[in-house]
Amino acid sequence: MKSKGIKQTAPASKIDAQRRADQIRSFQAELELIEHEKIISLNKRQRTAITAYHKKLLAQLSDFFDVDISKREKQLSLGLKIASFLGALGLAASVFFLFYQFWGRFSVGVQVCILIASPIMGLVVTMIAARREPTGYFSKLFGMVAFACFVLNLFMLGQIFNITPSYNAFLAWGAFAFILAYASDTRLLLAAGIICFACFLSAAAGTWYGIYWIYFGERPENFLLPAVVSFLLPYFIPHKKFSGFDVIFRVFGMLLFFIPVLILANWGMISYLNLNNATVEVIYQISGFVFSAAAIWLGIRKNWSDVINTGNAFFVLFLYTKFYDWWWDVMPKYLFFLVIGLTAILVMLILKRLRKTGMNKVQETAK
Amino acid sequence: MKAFLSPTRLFMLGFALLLAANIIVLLGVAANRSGKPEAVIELTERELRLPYKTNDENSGLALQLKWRIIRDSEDGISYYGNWGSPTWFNAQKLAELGFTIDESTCPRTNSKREKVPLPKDVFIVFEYNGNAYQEALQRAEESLKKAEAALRARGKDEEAQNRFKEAKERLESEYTMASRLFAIDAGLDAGKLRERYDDRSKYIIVSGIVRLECRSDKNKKIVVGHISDIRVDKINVPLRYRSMFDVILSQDKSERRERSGPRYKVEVAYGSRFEPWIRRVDKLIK
Repeated sequence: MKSKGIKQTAPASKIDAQRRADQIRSFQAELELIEHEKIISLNKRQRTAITAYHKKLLAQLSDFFDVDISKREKQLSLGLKIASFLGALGLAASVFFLFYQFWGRFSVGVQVCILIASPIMGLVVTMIAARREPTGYFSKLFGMVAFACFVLNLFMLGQIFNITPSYNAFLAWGAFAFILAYASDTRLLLAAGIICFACFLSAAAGTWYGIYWIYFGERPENFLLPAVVSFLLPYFIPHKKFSGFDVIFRVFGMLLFFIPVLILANWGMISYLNLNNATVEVIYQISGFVFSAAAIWLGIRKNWSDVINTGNAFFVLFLYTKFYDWWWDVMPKYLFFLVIGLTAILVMLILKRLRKTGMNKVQETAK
Repeated sequence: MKAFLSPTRLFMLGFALLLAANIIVLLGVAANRSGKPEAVIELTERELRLPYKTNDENSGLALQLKWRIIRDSEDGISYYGNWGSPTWFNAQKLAELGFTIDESTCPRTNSKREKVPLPKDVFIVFEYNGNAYQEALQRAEESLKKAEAALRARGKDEEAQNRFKEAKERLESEYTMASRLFAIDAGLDAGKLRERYDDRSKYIIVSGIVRLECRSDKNKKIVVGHISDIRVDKINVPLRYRSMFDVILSQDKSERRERSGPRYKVEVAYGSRFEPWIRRVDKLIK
């Protein structure tokens, strides 16, 4: 991820660079329109200076970050991303099934050698791809395959030697996924790393309470600590150099927080809290509403659309779950769905009002 | 931070992690298998079963450990695996294993404070071909006697005939194909359990998961223990022992018939980490 050469307001990541390139394209289109409407007219010298500056900047952005300069390039890039994702899934699954198909025909020594060699080979190929191809599509794909090979490696060693399952495997998988994610700037691997680490921390927390680790999901509160860690991490360690990593950390932090809260809001009997089950459920229902509303507020304040959207989704989910509890059995179905529809309209009106307030503030600032 | 996160350093770190993880796993395997095994036991097809269905896309083979419990039952059946609660797994044993047993554990009425109890990781003792198996045999014999008496008393009653047939088949199975491996005790200290059950060719100690359960019994709730699972219940068959099993599996595919006895015996060793491995395999029938 080289950024030398772009001196002024240099973008930190590919996402920032793409945003800058899009901004230039929008500016050019708007300028053309303004000139056509005869609102202003640039002289030849000014026009040449701007065009030359943009041309140079776009060339540099394209060189260093491989951004899409035209609409067509953008469409092709999207296709590449989808193909890379599907390719990674396909190859990872293929590695699993290939090994399963033949492993019984090898001696233990050969099995172990294949299992150890496959993630190492995957890592070597990822490293070569990362160096040779600046776009990163292939390194991302091979990174995913290397991760799948490592999962297979530890899992199959467990089967071959009848090893007692251990949650430490999640620590190793999580660490490897993080290393690959940061080395190849891959969000999918980052997500895998967060999930593995969340499983490890939750299992460790469960074990401290005397649960056998595989059952850590029986106390969803085990996930709350990893959720907070994931959400706060990009706040303390900025990830501007990496494409969308802070978004992934925040969204997964929220998922790891709100899903357990949603479960506990309905099944208080699986909580650590030594309270009446109904009280536990009320505590988590209130927490669900308060924290999802707080997430929307924080998202608006910090301009984090990912936090706003996730907060919105969970607020609505908590609301509808409550509606279901209260009214599904007592209301005729047409009335129940009417209430759902009317609530959606109410939410739309509130959001519209918030949007209008925001726009007014922007206009006042502009004046 | 920037320098630390340079791709080259990260890839090197990745290599180090891969090697370290594999070394740790293999050292663990070596530690388990080094020295004198914790137990060496000879089991047969009755206790170590081949998979019911083989998968064409998985060439690996693992034998499934089949274990049973003696439980309080009117039908005289000694159940397989985690069906029900063993007779010895009472409130006192649960307390020994660290479960809190008090008045609130299993309240008479459905309590609003009742929590789903958490499972615990303990050591479970399995007895091979011992007193527990003799008890299972005796129960099956008594069950057959009862069914026979009922048949005599009720004549050609279809239900009585069916019960007699089932009891007869069960007794036959106890003599020929039923597992003789029974869970007989549990504890937190494997050393103490080994002192109590010192015959290493008859008793195996394995790591397992137990739960507390509340059962309704004559209008009151009682606390019982339940073995949810054992942590390693499949034993991988290495390539050098495969040929005999492949022959058996191909025979099973071509002809389905009732078996009159086990077709193989397997010497299984349990290491210092209570993880098993196969040491020898022998064919039992011509």
